[in-house]
Amino acid sequence: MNKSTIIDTLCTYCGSSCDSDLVRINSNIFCCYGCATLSDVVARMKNAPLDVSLKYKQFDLEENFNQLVDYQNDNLYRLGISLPSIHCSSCIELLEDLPSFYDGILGSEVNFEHRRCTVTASKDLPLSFIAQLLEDIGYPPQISISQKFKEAEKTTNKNNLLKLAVAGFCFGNIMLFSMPHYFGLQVANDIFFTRLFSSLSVALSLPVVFYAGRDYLISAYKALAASKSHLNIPIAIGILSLFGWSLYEIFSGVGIGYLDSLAGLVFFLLIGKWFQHKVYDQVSYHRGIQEFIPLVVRKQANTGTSWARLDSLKKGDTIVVKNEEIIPANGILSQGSGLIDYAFITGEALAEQAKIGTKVYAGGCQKAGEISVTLNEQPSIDKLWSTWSNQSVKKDFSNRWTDHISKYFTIAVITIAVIAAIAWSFTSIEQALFVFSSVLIVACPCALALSAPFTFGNILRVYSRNNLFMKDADAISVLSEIQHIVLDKTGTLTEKAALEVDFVGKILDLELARSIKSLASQSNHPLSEIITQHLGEYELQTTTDFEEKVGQGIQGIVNNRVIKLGAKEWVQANNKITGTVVYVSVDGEIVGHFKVSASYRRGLKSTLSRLGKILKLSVLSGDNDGEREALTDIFPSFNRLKFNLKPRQKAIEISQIQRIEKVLMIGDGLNDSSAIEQGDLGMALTENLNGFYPGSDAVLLSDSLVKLPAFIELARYSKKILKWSLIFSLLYNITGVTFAVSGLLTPIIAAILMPLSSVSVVLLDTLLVRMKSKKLNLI
Amino acid sequence: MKIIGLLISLSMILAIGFLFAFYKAVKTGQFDDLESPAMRVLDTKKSKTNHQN
Repeated sequence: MNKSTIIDTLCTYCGSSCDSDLVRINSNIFCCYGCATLSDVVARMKNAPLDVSLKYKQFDLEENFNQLVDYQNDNLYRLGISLPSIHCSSCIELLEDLPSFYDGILGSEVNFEHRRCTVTASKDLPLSFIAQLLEDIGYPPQISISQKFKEAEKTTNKNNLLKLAVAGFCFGNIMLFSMPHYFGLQVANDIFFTRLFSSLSVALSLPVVFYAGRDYLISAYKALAASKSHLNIPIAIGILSLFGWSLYEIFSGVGIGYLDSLAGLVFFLLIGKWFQHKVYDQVSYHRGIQEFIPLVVRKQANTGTSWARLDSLKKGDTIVVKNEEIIPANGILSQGSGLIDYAFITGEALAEQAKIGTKVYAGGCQKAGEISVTLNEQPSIDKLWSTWSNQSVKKDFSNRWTDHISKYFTIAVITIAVIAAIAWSFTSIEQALFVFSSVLIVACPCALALSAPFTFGNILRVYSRNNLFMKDADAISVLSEIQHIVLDKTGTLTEKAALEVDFVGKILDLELARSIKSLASQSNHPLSEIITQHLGEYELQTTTDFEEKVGQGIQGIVNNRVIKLGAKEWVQANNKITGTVVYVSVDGEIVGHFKVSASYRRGLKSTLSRLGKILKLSVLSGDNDGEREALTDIFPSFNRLKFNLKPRQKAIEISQIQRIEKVLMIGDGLNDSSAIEQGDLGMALTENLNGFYPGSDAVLLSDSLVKLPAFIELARYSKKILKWSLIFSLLYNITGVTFAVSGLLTPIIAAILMPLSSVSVVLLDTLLVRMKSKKLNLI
Repeated sequence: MKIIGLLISLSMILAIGFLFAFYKAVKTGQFDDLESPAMRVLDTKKSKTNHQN
């Protein structure tokens, strides 16, 4: 190995090797933000003052604070904060070192697996301050009231683990007590031991049925009460008939029952459940509007600015919005110059310029300096939210596939059991009862119940490794049925905040480029700024007679030449070019134009053509149709290609498609949220997991958009896997039922058949998913 | 042969003891995070100060 190449990629701070997303600061290379910040910040940061951002200020409101903290007394409070950017041991080191940065922080402990940090702080230090501190050192926190939902999910899985342990413990021990009977050992004939073993088995089976298996019984009862079919119904029948018949056999002294099979059944079922619930913690689907629009604002009064709740503001109040902050309410710009990015709201890619007196709208992000906004109406979050969201749409992914089968399954099993019992009742009533319960016992669809969790659980894992995070396993079965994909344009098909500039016309010589840049730099119109940036590094020349006409263009004299930049009419151009175009004329002669176009994501063309082969594609955009040609160039046969759509119209378009096809909606911003909710499956595309994805059922990191065809193929394949598992488990059941109907189901046959079917189905599913994923290059 | 009865009761008591220990461990959060303790060992700074002490 060549040593020097290794050194190049070693982290300056911690010395571990860096992967592709390394961080460069002042010619030093760091493996993550943890190391970068640590080496730089530790000395500098101690007790430094912070400028707390609007978005964190709302955590200090008493009602929010009380819900967020895990514990508080008069002096201190403690809460767990989700920090998705935790990456390596340096991050742990830095975050656990927080108490030495700030006197108010009393302790901090990182949970690496869940990417969380539990912070204990004194009451003097507001929560917003801690949040800002975490963001400043490179760990933007995910604190939200909805985050608390996730913690409830976590305790469920903790309970699942305990139930699994109890079931496993009882399963093992009951099996040991049944061993003598399996092998016909001498102790099996000893009355003392038979009684001892039987009573111990009964004692051990009680926690299995009433603690570990409780959920199955309860949910089966609930499904029955609501007269719905559910896979848990045949399972509950199996559990109860196993338990009941075993008790009968043991107490009447006929035999030892099937308690080992019962415990094994519950044990395997719980493994499946635990596996499926072991989900990722980075993604939160419960975020609401309040995490996007700040609830607390800087109110400007004669005495200065102070923090105020948004709902306490009235018409006419003035608020201050700083750089990169979200405008919380509709109003009129009263101070400063605004450059407001509405991309998230409308899908419009170019930031809008706002002068004093211009109307600004809630949800826009201020991009240049500080502005003051005078409210022209009483702010109302609910009203605001209703423009984007269509909350009446509630999706419920029930596991249709297995529920559907379980209906027929239950009916078939009970019919077979009854017919067999009637047939045997001519021989003996006792034998008829035995056969009846044997059929119910052996037909328990354990393998069927395991196949879905393991197939979907494995797929979820493959997806999350490739940065697609599904809300739950059932969303996969919806994905497999999708026939039509609807895409948003800005931010989804195009890169966020990346525009391509091309100059078309005469070759720009250095001198002219320099002059154009000098003129463009005089204006702060977004297009001028884009052109200024595009032209690169030149020393600016003096511009005289500068003139700017809003909506038209700019002109000025640079280097003794009259240069005009702007719209067609402004420069008197004849040829019409579609898209966003800035014409250039020098001394009245047109030399060409700048074409500003969205930059489409890499690999989009091949991705779309691959998708186009298996399903229909549409694009619904809130932006103007300047990109129509570029889009049809990338993919010629869009089913629908519509522009200038309002958020609600997108949802309506989707509901029209839904009359005939199942729709997957992929979007990125708030303007897509009602469409995302409307789709049979809503997928949010995001640059990082810190984003905001209301109403979505899945979150996809933008780099993985190219893998979408593979994701869909895998989801579709899951149906095939489930079919194979069904055939497999039916074969087992037919074998078992044959034994049962002929009255031959002995404890040893039950004890072999049940685990064998479960284990083989689990292995089959896992293998098939892995093989397919490898084929699709997903693992 | 009857001695097996005693052995079985002893082993059950032992096994239930372990099950209870596992229950306690889960409830007190020992299985919440299986990764960070291993990384905390590598914390260079803390180990340095420990040496000095």
